[in-house]
Order: sequence, then structure tokens, then C-alpha cells
Amino acid sequence: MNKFLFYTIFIFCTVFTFSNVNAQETGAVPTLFNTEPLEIPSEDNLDLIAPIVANEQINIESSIKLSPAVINLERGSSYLLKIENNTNVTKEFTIVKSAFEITSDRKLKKIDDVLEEKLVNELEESIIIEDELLVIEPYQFKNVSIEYKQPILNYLNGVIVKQRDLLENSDENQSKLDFSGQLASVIIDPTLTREQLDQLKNTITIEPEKSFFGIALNSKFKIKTNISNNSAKLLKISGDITLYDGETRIDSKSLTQNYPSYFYPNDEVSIEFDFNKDERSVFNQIGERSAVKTLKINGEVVQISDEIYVLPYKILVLLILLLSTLMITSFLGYRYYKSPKKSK
Amino acid sequence: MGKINIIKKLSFTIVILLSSFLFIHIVNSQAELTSPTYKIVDPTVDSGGGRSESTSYSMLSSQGGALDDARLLSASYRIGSGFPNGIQANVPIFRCAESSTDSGSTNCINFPNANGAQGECGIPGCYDRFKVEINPSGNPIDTLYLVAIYNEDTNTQYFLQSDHTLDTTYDINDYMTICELEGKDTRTGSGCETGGDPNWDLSLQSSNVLNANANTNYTVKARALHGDFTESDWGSEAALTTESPTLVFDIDIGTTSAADTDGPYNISFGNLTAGVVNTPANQIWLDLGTNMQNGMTTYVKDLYTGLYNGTDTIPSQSEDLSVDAGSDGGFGLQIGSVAEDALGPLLEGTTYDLATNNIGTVTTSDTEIFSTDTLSTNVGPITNGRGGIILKALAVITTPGGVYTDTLTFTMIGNP
Repeated sequence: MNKFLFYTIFIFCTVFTFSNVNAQETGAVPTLFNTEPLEIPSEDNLDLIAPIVANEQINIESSIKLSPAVINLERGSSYLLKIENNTNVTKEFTIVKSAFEITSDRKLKKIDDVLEEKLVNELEESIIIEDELLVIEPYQFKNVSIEYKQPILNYLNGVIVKQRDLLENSDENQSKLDFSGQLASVIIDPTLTREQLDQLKNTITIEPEKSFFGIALNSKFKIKTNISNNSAKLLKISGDITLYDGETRIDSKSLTQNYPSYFYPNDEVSIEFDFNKDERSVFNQIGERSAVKTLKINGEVVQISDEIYVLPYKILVLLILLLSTLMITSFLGYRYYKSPKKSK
Repeated sequence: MGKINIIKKLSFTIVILLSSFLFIHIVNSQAELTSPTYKIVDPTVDSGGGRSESTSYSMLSSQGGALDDARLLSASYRIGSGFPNGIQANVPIFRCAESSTDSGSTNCINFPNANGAQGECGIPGCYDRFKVEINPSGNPIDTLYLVAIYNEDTNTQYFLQSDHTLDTTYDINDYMTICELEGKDTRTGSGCETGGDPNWDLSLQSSNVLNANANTNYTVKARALHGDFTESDWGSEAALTTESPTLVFDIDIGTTSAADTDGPYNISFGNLTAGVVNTPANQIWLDLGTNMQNGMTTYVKDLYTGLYNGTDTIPSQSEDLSVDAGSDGGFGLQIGSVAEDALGPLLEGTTYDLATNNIGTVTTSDTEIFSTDTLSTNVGPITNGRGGIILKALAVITTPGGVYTDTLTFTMIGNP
């Protein structure tokens, strides 16, 4: 009997153990055989995961390379100006402070020397150049720290890097021309004052596809937006339009891709979007919609909005029917009440 | 006898109890969810599993969350087990994430131009944008991908938006197919296999991450989604560094565009014979390159508004020297040729886009001589632009003698 009990318990334990394994095999396939979710890249892609290092190859053609040619910089900040001498000879450079104007055809131009002389004091206080004279050996580069102190009214700040050695060794006895080259590094100050922000024309209007006395009869809208740069500054603008039902976001569209990399003075961009993504039940569509335009202009956030009330026409029809029914019922009830039969 | 009966009854009771327990356990462990069409065998998702041994095999199994078993997770790989891992999209990896590669270093396969990212943005590469390409890793064509982009310099996490700009938040609209993300997917039925397909987009093939910061380190990673509850984990990260807006400039003097000379640079007029338009054989060759999206402008100005001998000037004015309307001689420039290796093209300034003996004036103020722009099919960046400038001077019989000189200064400025 004891043997019987022992074998019973043994059989129980054995079956219990294997039933557990079975459960794992059937309920959740052991993942060593589940190849689908394995995150093992194919062999030819293994090396692609490694960081890609910036290419440091120097152009074979002899040249002078300057970077950055343009930089967004707030006053009080500094940056490193990199000058590469990719030629076979030692080059000398002079770095001078300069001012630039924006031309009518969206280009930058160094201001005339005569005008620059008049601004000499302002220029002097606008920028600090770490090292104004540079000698760079062949196929070498140097970084020069440029500190931007304060803007010059109506102009962009920057520096001009002049090649100094080009004018030397000229033959003084022949009619001839000498040539020199210079490269600009221009600073764009993103700082905007409240006054400058107020100078921007920035609008948004929400127009319903169907309306009745100013009430939208469905959730399809055309949202029109416009912005124009009435300031004298270059503006970097990004943003979006979001449609809200109260606090609930319905849909949004980005504006950034429709904007130029910089808004030049007098640039104007108008955009129209169709919003028709509200697929909720008509009952949920009742309420006020607000279209909020959020712009980041040179880092400053500006928000404007327009609102409209939505009463889907199906609800309106239902209300009219209910109202009509109520009125008819009331009328009939009133007639019944006033009828001679009732008065008896 | 009575004792034996008691033991028998007790044993029988124990066997009955054990058998009942075993039966209930087996029934429970093999519970099934059934429908008229499908049957899920043992839908248990509890954590469990472990090591099982037989004489021939050993098995390491995991039931429920794979993360419950540390042996199934390494720094690089994870083995997913059971439901919902079986329906998860495969983890995507990047074929490339590039801003400054050239033909020798690019891993992207769908750039429209040759020479890697430099072929799209010019030398030395892109500064405000870059290109990512995802290896679908076996996921179907309609799989959606979310791309996360981390700015290592500011420690800011961004997500690629549906308009390919960056934002710190995302929603379902920002999950994109390979077509929407890259503008090209060579798999049959993708809708962007070849030019003319509705979702074929050359601009996305060129660069599909916009509004990046210059000279900044980024890492990118992606996750895939193919239906509800199927989102994969983030894939491996790829790294890149954006370039700076750059100007490349050089002056050469020579008779052909192959000239490659070092400074100092000058061209002699020799003897100016009265009444004869003097055109030196040597030309000025400017090498102009930039990666700036809106291009560059190169201006020219001089020292004296003409050739100057210390007291008198041969004036520089826009005119036909063959006519010399003022009969006072003249000096000026004429663009002989423009060319480029890629992008651009290099455009001629209207003042100097002339022929025969027509010349454009040079003054002490800058006048545009070369540029690139984004009008029509033009692009701002240019690789190895080469502009040839011809000099022309005319002396007349009344021109005083002497050694005449002038200095031309070329100024190259990028357009923001």
C-alpha cells in the first residue's frame, strides 16, 4: 500500500512537471525558435550602426574655406570662426569688423567703405575679434573666437576675412591689375523686441464650409493664415496650427515647411489649410472650435486664435423636428383645450 | 483488519485527492479560448518558464514578459517571447544617417545625386538638414516608422514630424511609411518605386530631416508599427554631425580654366597702345563653392574706379570699347565663362554678362559678378564653381603716359 502511495505521488509529480513544460510550449512558443522578433541586423548592416564621423577630406582643388558663413547668435555670445588654408603656400589673413545690408533681391552685401567709416565707432563696440592677424600654413586651419557684443542699427554685424598676401611682390613698372579676395561671416541676431514683434502682421481666420448665422453646420473648415515681416530684421519662423474642441486637440498642421528658411523684410506668406478630420459622432461635434496658430519667431513664442461654434446640421434638423413636434403638440393641445368639447 | 481498511481508505482518499488536483491542474493549464473559427491554446501570459532538460536536449524558455528573464536580454539584443512579441513589427535599423559623406563614405542608396551628402548639399556637407534611410528589416511596405532625433549638444529629444521638421512631441501622424519618410521605396507596390509614382519625392531622397542645427551632434533611432499593439522597440542608434555653412574660394590666374596658381595674383596689360582694345591672354579664374541652401553672392570692386597712374585715370565704365562713346578710353571686366562640377549653376552678374568688346564697370562699391540662387530649378549650393573673367582696357591718344594700376577685390558672401 505504501508502495502504491509512493508511486502515486511519483506519477503525480512527473505529470505535473511535464504539464508545466507543455503549458510553456503551447501557450508561449519558446523564443529561441521565434525568429520574427529577433533584433539581429543583417550582416551587411552591422557596420552601419557605428557612428558616422564627419568627413574631414580636404578638397583637392586649392582653396580657402571659411565657416560659418552665417550664424545665429545672441548678443553677448561668441563663436569660433574657422579658416582653412587648403593651398600649397602659407597664407596671411586679416579679420576686420564689418556691417552688411539686405538687398532687395534677398542677398547680403557689405556696406560701402565710406558708410563703414562713419560707423567705425559702432563697429568697434559691436564685435571683439580674438586675433585679427592670422598666418596659416599650407593645409592647416585656425579657429578664431568672435564675440558679438551688440547690434548696429539697421545693419547686420559680421566680419570680413581678407587675404593679405595677394598684393605683395607686384612689379612696379608695368600697367597691371592686382587681385585680392575676401570672405564674409555674418551674424544674425535673433533677438526680437516686443515692438519688433508687434510690427509683424500675423492673422488667422477660420471659415466653415457651411454656416448658418455664423454657426458652422459641420466640422469642415478652411483656416486661412498670413504672416508678413514688416520689421527690418531677418526672421526665422516655425510653427503650426492646431484645431481644438475645448481642450481636446482635433487636428494640427505644420506651417514650418511652407515658410522660407528666413523671412526677409517685407516677405509675406499666406497659407490655407482644410481641416476635416473630425470623425466623432455628431453629438460630440457640438461646441466651440478654436484654431490656434503658434509661431516661434526667432525663439519667441507668439499665439493667436480664431473661434467658431459648431452645431452639426443633423442636430439642427433634429432640434427643428423636436421643436416643430413640440409646437404642433402644443398647438393641438391648445386647440383641444379651447375646443367646445373640452369646455363642456 | 480494521487498520488495513483504514490505511486502504486513507490511501484511496489521498489518491482520489491527488488525481483530482492533477486533473484540475491539467484542465486549467490547457485552457483554451475558442471561437467558431479559431482556437487559442493556453492563452496564459503569466511569467514563467526556465530551464528544461532531457537526455538529448536542453531548453531555455520564457513565458510572458521576456524581460523577466535577464538571460534573454543583452546590451544589444533582446529575445522577445510569446504574445504580443509574435505580432510585433521587426525593430528597424538605419541604413544611413548622413550629413557630410561623399561617394567613398556614404551608405545611403537613394541620394538623387552622386557623392553622398556632399552631392546634395555641396562641400563640406549639409548644415541645416540631413538624410536618414531605414532598413525595413523584413517589415511590410505599409509599416509605419517613428524617428527620434537626439541633439547631443543640448540634450534635447526631438521626433521627426510629418513635415520632416523636428519637434519635442509626436502623434500618430508622425509615423511614416518608407515612401513618406524617404520618397523612395524600391519594393514592388510601394507607390514610390520609380519617378512618376505618386509618392516618389526627390526632395526627400535628397534630405528628409529639416531644421537641424549647424555643427551639432545628433543620434537617431526608429521604431516600427504595423497595426494596433505591434509597435517595436527602438532600434540601434546612428550618429552624425552636421556641418557649418561654408564658403570655398580661390583665385587663379591663367589662360585656361585649368589654371591653379598661388598668390600673389596680378595680370599685366603690357604696353597700352592708343586706340587698340587691350585684352590680356591671362584671365582671372575664381573657384566658388558653398553648401548654403540659399546660395552665395560674389561681388567685385576696385580701388580707383579705373586704371590709375598716380595723377590720371583711364575710367572704368560700362561701354563698348570698340565705340568708346566718350573717346576717353576705358577699362572693365567681362565674364568669359562659367562652369561647375555639381549643383548651382553658377550665374553671371548682369553687369558683366557681356561679349566682344563690351565691358562692365568696376567701382569702389561692390557690384555683383557671380551668384547662385534658388529660382526655378536652380539650387543655392554649388560644388567647384569656376568663373573666368576677361580684362579689357583701351587707351586713347590723349591718355597721359605712365604705369597704370588698379586693385580688384572679390568679396564672397553667403545668402541666409
